[in-house]
Amino acid sequence: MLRAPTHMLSRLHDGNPKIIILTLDSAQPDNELPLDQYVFQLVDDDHFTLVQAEEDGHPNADIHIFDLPPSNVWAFWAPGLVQDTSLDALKTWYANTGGKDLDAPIVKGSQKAVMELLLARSLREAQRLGNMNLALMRDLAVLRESWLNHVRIPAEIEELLANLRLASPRLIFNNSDTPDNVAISIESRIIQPLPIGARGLLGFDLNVIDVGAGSGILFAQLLARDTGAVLARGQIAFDALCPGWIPFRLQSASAASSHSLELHIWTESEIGATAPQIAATPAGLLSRFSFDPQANAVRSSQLLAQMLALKLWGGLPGVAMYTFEGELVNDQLTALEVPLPDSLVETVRLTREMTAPYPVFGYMERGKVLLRPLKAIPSAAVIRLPATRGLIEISCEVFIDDRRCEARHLGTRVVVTSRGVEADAAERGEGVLAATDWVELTEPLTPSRLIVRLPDMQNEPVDVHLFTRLPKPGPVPPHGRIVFNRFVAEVHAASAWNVSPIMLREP
Amino acid sequence: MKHAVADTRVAVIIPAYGQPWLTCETLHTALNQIADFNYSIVIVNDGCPTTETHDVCQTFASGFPERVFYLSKSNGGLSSARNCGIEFALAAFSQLEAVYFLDCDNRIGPHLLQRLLNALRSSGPEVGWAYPDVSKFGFAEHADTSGPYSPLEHLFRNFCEAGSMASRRMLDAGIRFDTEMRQGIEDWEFWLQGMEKGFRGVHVGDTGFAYRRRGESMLVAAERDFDSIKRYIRHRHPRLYNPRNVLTLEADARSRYAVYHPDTDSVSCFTVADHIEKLTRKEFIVRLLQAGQRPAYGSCPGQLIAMNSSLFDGFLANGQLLGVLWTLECALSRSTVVACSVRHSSAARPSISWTSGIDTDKDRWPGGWRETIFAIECFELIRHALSGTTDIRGGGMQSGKQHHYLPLHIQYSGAAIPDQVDHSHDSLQTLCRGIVEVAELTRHGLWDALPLDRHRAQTALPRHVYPELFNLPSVLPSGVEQGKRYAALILNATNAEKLTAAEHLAQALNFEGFIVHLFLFAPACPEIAARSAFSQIITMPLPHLLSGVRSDTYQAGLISRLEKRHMNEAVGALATYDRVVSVDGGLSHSLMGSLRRLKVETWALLGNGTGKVTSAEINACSAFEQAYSAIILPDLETAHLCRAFGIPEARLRLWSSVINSADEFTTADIT
Repeated sequence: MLRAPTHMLSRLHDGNPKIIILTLDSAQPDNELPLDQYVFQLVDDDHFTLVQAEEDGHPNADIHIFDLPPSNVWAFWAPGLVQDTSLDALKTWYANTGGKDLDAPIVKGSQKAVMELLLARSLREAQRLGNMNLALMRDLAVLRESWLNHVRIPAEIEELLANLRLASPRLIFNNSDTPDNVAISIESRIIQPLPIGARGLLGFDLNVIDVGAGSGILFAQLLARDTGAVLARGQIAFDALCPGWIPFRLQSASAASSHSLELHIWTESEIGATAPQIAATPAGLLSRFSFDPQANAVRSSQLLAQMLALKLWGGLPGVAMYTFEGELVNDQLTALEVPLPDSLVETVRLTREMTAPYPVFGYMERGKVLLRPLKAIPSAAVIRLPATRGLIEISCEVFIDDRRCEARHLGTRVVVTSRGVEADAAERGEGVLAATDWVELTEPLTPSRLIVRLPDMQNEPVDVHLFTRLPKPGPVPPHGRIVFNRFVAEVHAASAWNVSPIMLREP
Repeated sequence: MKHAVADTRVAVIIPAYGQPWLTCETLHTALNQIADFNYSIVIVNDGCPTTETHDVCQTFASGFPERVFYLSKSNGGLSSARNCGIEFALAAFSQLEAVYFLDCDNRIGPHLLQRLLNALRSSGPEVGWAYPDVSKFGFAEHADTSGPYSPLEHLFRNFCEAGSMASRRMLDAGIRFDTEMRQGIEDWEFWLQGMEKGFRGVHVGDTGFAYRRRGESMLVAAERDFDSIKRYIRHRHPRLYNPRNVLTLEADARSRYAVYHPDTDSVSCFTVADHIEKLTRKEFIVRLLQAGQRPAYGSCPGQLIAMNSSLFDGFLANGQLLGVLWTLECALSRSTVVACSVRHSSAARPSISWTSGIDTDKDRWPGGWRETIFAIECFELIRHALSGTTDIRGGGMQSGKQHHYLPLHIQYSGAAIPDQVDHSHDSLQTLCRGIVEVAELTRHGLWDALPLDRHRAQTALPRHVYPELFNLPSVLPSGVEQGKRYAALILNATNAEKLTAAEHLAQALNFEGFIVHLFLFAPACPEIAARSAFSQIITMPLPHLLSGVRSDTYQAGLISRLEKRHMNEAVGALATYDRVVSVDGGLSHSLMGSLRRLKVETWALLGNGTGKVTSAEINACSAFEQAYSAIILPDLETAHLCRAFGIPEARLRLWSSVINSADEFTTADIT
């Protein structure tokens, strides 16, 4: 029905109010109208073609047949003798293609009539926008009111949240348990993709190998890759660095929802200064988390790709953990939960010999240890923990992992001793730092938590002895597979690092 | 700075229908793009009856007249609205490079357009679209669509969101949304059109695409009708959804078998044996461990077979490899571990015989030589290796399988003699040790403990593809040689007359350009004089070894049939052939109906080309005559008899006319 050169399509479908002038000839009418106007010439009974202004400079442009009516047309004006049949055809076409009846009037006659119509339409439009604005303001008011009056957290949930807020920060990623670390100098910017999302991230530790020399500043910045937004930034002078793990912390765990994070590390220094060195470690299987993107592209070097040695800490989003100066807000937050890595749990070994034609002891997948009670004397195994600064508690979960087990009162116990204490001595209480009582398991698959709280902080290596026993001497009950799982060490935050946290702040 | 509409490189097409206030959010994120090129936003009001939708669209168009364009059309559905936006963008923006589809309740990150267009610009011409990860909000969920694009995976799983960017070359190829699809999932069909025209996708990370998942939405509704929608899509794309095409994609991915050769300590990854990727053991294990962590469908086969390379080469040279691997695959679908002892003897012509139970008697063949093939699924091998248990036979039974350990034995002869040094007895243990070493080296435990989205992180298995697409457990990888057609001749027994008939038919088919495979529904294939007529000889022993054959009567005649599972496997074995010929009836009759539905040309040969046809043969054939496209007869008299049994004349062809072409070929060859 309407035809126009393709270069005019965007103008005919933009949001500006416009008037369509329908004529019988190609002359541009000499009208002064207060909005965009487009002249269409009737070329046969029911087709109009846009008359191009000479200054358009598109004399031979492709002519596009409109499938859809132009946008925001305030009026069709036929100043000449366009027949009603053509105008009726236009209305029909408009309704068929546009999905609604023609909402702009067709005006026949003088410019005065058009101006009157435009004035009326302008007033209606102003009123419409005013109504929309009013509705929007009322929506916002109701929304605020609903927050005030209706979005109330029940008291019991608030109590639950209060308890949750006391939860210790937790080590959620640690790639440093490998001897393959190397030192890298921070001479240019290091961009380290993080393997976790932003939500719940409380901070990270970097392992400084060499503090550098001269005057300079080390910067660290967390960046959300999807939005490009800098979440937090921190800095420390070279001369404030000391070798070892350096904690960088947000004041509270991040509530941002970005799935992909980057850690940027760089330095700025005076001429002659030497940049610090920090530890890097093999990325291994997932080289996409290496800081050298080129390594991903070369198959042979995949296993050589490096990432920063990192400890990532998590907490409850929105709960203030640290003050602006880096002090812990709450004394109850002094503890940090550090899950024992599977590679450490995997070193578990028997301390009392036991044999059976079926599995009775061994490291299972994902940090689980099987230790079946077999004899009159308890079965025993040990995990040797390396020195952990500020160790104050060891805990684990224990359960019967076979639902067919009908035996009840199978006993389990954890004893923490100094390094090198034998199982017999540990059971007798010699060299024991702390121990649980015997805990009896009564239901298969129902876990119990064994917690060994040390009387004092330990910085030396300790042995964690695991014991299981039958309720009474006699035949071995079938399916009595006792499994220890989820080993967690709790350490004292203030003792875990040599330096106060470096606070990361929003830029 | 004034936006140059004429220089628009990307058009964001937003169909609008309802949800006006969510559309505000969508438009807000679309307007906040940070890009070094010009982009425009095209809102298409799909005839929404509520004035609020129009008001929101019109307000944004008025507010950003150089950036936002507004089309209003009669209601035609989501596909129609997107197509309308495409046509407008193609006509209005002469410099258009791509369009981005954004639904009116979703959100995008500020760098999305730039990153997607960068990916398209830096890709080859075969890349037609760029797709993001999907972060679902509302009901929270994150869908990791990362990894190299796999057309094989895209046939059975839609991992490309509608919120993707389609290149100009895709649009210029005439690809549009199917306006008949008004129930949803039309985006999958759109990308499949691209795939059918030779385009591929590319994944782009960190785009910030966020999909609003509500309790009730078009997607939620579509999930209820998912089966019927999938049927419609597959019906629309017969060129994609046929066993031969799927096999071709699988062959490209080399994702069917990983054959570990203990004698060379290497791994051959392939689907068809003339398209092998060789890896060292360590390279393979790294790839295998990665397959469990990050999506890369098809990068690592899911079925591992441990077989000495000399034995592998021997089977290959004797045309027996395909059949051996297929039997192991079928056995593996029933059992966690398959162990197969092999004894070899030298002979001018190859033969093979399968029996149940592994041969452990070292003295039965004095001076003889024996080795063992093992088959296990790769993830099961990892599970076993990392659990630290020593005897693989002592583990639990894999879910969905009937056996934990299935022993078989092959007695085999051929001219190609394998090295008579057995490296195979502890091949799985060697692999397990390798897995433990590489897992430690590559820090598998570190990454495995991380809560990654592993929904698509898997090795490739036939059961991911073929049951879903064709209701078949798998298909035999017959071959994918360009420009070649493949024919299977089926025999139940191998007496001289039948073999001669099969040989003559094979020559005729060879002359027609077919590559011909001989199938034997028997546990053994004796030495065959006409071996050269068949590029592969495939025995199907399991129905006989696992009691999978039963009998039915038809008009007082006894007809053998396979039990359902064996039958599905047999149909799968033949599904990728262009033509399948039943040479001596029997078990093969009952397969033909299923094969014909898969567009396989099905023939029956009566009388073995000898002229002697019994009434029982015709009776058996007539029970299945509708399943055949042609029935080959020795003479006109038999044709009369067939008509008397009710077989339509249109299906009948004379043996002499079929083999005529072969005679001409033979004569021409001699002269």
